Amino acid sequence: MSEPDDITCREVAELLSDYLDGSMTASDRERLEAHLSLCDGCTAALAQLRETIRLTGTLTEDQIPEPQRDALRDVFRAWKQSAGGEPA
Amino acid sequence: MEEFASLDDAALVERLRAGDEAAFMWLVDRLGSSMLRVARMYVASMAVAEEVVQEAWLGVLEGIGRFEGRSSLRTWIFRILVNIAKTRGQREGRSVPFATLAGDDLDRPIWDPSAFRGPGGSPAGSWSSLPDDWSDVPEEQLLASETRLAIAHAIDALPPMQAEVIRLRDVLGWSSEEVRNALDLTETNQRVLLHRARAKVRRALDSRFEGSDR
Repeated sequence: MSEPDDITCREVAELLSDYLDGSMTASDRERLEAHLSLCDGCTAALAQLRETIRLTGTLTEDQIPEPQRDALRDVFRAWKQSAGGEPA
Repeated sequence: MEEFASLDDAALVERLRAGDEAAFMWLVDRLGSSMLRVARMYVASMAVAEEVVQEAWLGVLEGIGRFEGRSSLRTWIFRILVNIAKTRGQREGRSVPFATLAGDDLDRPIWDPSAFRGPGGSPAGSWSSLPDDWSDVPEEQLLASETRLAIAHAIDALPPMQAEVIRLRDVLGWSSEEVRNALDLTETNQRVLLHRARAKVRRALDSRFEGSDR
């Protein structure tokens, strides 16, 4: 078990995104979790980041403008006509 | 159109090979906006980006017979796009430094240093003021359209590669490996770009919730 204070809040704050992504080594993760278990500030920062990711996930993407969509449909039809596409 | 959402890559590829226009247009609708933005990073104008996207889709259709599923379909499509966009950019004599796309702040801390106690503080590097607890922000406010608008604006203000990484990862739900391969990024760069992008969106949300009536 690592000492809880061998990593500072300033350092933890920079690692939270990697932590949520699961892109940390097991030992770094353990160190971070030991710190989190004792630190209200870092726990609040982690909760903010989690919420940020959740809320970002509520956004939706715009569709491309109709003329570009039409142009791509034309690309598809021209390809299909020339290559035939495989019979369905 | 919903029928396509349940298809896996192999089934979608089969549809494309069979010349299924609806399947093709479904993919265009899913990927089109990102593809235009990514192409635009490498070429001089939106008009050229549109041409690049058309060329990329033609490349996809012509190559679909050879797609072996070693990456996801969408990653493969983006690889074709990025290759064409880069080549086109080079032909235009346009070389875009990575720092221009990624932002020149990648090695700077993402939290305001004043949030932490200095070397003389006790303990050094700990919070001088704790981050706000957002759990008392009402759900209606969290999910209000103004909140979504604030997030969208924060993303639009990011350097283009940071913006695209967070859109693909957190808006569209791609995996880190897909994004890394699609945008031709190293594993480290993907991570750092996402980290910075999330931090800036978090900050935008924090200032929005701070002034809120709760």
